[in-house]
Amino acid sequence: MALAYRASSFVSAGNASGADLSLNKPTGTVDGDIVVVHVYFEPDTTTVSISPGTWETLAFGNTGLFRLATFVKVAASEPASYTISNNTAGDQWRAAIGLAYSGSSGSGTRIDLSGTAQADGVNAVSQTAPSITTTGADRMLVFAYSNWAGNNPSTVSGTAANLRGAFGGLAIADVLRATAGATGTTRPNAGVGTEDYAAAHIAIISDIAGGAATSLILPTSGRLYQHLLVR
Amino acid sequence: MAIVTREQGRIIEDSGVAILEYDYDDVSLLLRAIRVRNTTPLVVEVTAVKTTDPNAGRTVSRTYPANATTVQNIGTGAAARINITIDSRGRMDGVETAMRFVI
Repeated sequence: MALAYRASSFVSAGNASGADLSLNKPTGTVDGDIVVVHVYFEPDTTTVSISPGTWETLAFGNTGLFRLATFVKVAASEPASYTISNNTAGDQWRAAIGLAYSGSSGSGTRIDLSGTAQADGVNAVSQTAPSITTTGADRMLVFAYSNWAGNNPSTVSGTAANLRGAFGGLAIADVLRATAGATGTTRPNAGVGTEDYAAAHIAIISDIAGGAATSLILPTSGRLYQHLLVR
Repeated sequence: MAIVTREQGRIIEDSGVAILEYDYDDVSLLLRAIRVRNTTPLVVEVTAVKTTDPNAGRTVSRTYPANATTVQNIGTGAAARINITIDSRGRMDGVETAMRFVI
């Protein structure tokens, strides 16, 4: 079974308060869903964390400007909202987007692999997340993006072209990759100008049991038996 | 003086898009309007938490109807009193805003 987009939620806050950010759980999230939270914080030297729960984390950003972090977990008795904090004292611009995906199965690490990129003063055509090579079927490829000016993309183009939303310059899009292989790039298509940006591709495994590459070792001699249990 | 429209956020569904945007005076840098443009068949919920005084911590949550555009104009006097400012990048400061569909 493959992941499918369910719902999202968005929040942002300005410089005027150094308090933690509270992000509502995406509406309709149920146990077993994959929850993805994409976060923007200033400055770039800050370390971002999310609670409650245990999350897989990809930290990246634009050196000298802002920090991005994408968190992934399997939903299990999720709270009504998540608290997103950082370790830099004082007031900071921050934003967060949360998505929920149905169709997950199995347990274990959810992030197959990822790739990040950043640059300053480039137009939309060049604000790409790099191509990555996924290792199995049914990977949900997530495009996680932000820029310094806070401009929202209105559409994206390339591989992960399903833009789910944008808030305070933070944006997230996705596509289900049915087969393994090179993904190609994704970038904003409209709504942004020349920007200082950072972006990532993150491939999330749908089915842990069927997602890892496995090989069946057959005996070179003798017989292979199959047992059928009849109740 | 010009009124600038800036998008705060957008949520996209197969059936359309809901956009939260605001207008501000590019000289005084004060808010002039809040607007929700919703082309989806879903109700949108927007929550605002004041992060500056006056009324820091005050929370206002409102739903916006499907397939409609809703505008709340803000008078210059009110804009000056509520202390929500616009920074040099055109971003709204003094309030935490959240947005999602109500399903």
